Amino acid sequence: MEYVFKSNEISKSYGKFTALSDVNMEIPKGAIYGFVGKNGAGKTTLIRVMTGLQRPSSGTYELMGKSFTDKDISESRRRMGAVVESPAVYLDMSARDNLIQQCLMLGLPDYNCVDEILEMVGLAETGKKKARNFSLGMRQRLGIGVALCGSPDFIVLDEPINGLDPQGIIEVRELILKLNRERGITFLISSHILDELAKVATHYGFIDKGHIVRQMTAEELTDECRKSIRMKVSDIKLLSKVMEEKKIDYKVVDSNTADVYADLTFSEVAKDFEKVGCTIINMQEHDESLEAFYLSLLGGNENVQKSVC
Amino acid sequence: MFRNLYADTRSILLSRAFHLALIIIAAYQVFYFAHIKVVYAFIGVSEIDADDIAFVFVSVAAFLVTAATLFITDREFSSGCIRNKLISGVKRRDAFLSAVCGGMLQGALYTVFACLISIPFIGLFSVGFINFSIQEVADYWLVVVMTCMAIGAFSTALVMILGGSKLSYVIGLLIAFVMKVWDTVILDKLYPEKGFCKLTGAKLAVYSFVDKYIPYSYLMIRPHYEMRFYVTGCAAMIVISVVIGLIVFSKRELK
Repeated sequence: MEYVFKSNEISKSYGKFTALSDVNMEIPKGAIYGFVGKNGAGKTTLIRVMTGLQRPSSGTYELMGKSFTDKDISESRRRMGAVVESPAVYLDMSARDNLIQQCLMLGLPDYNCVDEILEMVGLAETGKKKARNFSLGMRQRLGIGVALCGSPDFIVLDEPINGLDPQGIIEVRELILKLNRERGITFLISSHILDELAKVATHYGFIDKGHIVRQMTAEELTDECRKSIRMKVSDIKLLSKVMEEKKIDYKVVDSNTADVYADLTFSEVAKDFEKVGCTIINMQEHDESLEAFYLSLLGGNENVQKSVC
Repeated sequence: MFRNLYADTRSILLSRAFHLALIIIAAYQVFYFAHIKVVYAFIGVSEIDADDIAFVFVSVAAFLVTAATLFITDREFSSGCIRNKLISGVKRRDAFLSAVCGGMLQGALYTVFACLISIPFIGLFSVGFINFSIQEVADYWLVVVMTCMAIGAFSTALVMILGGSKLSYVIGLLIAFVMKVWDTVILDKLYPEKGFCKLTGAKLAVYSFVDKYIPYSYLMIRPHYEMRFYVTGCAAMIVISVVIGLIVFSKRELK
């Protein structure tokens, strides 16, 4: 698999405080990577390291195949856009002037992309209105527009929907999906609003106390979060036998517990289990949202690095 | 670096703070002229010498250039534009040098603007220069342009070195203020109104050095050394700002 970003044991310390510890992270090309973690977990630190604002204390990373120590890493960075913490816009300039400014800085030969980007981020009608008079949502979209100059392959968005109203959230979400689908741009999105992230992300990385606790695809997360019936039985092998006979999807949790992904009628299940001599100890509906999964993941004991992407 | 310099120049020219600084320069000169006119009328003098109104900007140049360059560069930091440059692949050295050049450009533009604003007042309302020849006037403005460029470079480098910290305002303006006060003392000691200079030894050497090589002191009194001393002082200030700034900024961790 091709990765736009791949880190190898990155650590970052500020004096005695360790913000990142042996972080291994892979962002596949074309993914929308949801980066999830509490405040102070190390999300922004990793983004700062990734974007070259700070250097890792130890470890290495590759950006679009180039090591961060390469002399021509700036070439890779030119294929990257970012909105870190707040949109980087010149408040005294109009949306159009801001995009032209970015084109000039990138040394683009012309400004033909400006109108297209303005249209794409929904700011084509703002005319000469200065960015200082923009709403938060408009500034956020302008920040994404600035990041889009030069047709980047990878865009990093740090809390892109913070402070946005519902309409703004929808607009930003639609924009991200559109850019990912139509242009194949890879996104890294850090966010606290997990349900919103779940609407766009194809991959997830969970960070806690400077460690990547887990990386997974959206499908894997769906499997973990989907509605199920958690059954505790006397013999898990017999449960497996029954489920396979009935062609019901299930997942063994431990030696006598399994999650069954189907709507079961208790009386029918009881009969089937009785036939094979298995006792049902208890049955309960199990529905895990992304938030619940996140809490169970970060609250659990096994906070170990597990890369499954 | 040049495309960054071009982009930075554009952002400076379009910034409201830059326009505000120009308005303040113009307003200050108009206000000063009106003030002189009233005072002269009050004491019964009808004619105004160009000497009195031509170099009004010079007395506030250090503060104005410092404040304006600090503000504009600091806002680039706080708005995330410098961060965005680095993320977009601009090398730190290029980002720093173009910012410093932008600061120098601001210093030059403010001075040239002040000079242009003073011209109509001199032409329309004064009887001409009494104590200055044309060459001396030109030299004076040239020294002021160079000095403001050096101060602009220093202030910009200060913001970049401190990573956009508000401490740069305190340090930048404090230096301008301290130098103004100290230069007043130095001039008083080196060129007393009555009698002759009584300084000797290290104190004389230090005071002469400041008077000769520290650009802030060039804004206190009309040029009285050869041009090469002023060029050396301004160039030294720029080179020191750039070298120290480059070393610090290239290693600085940005937020």
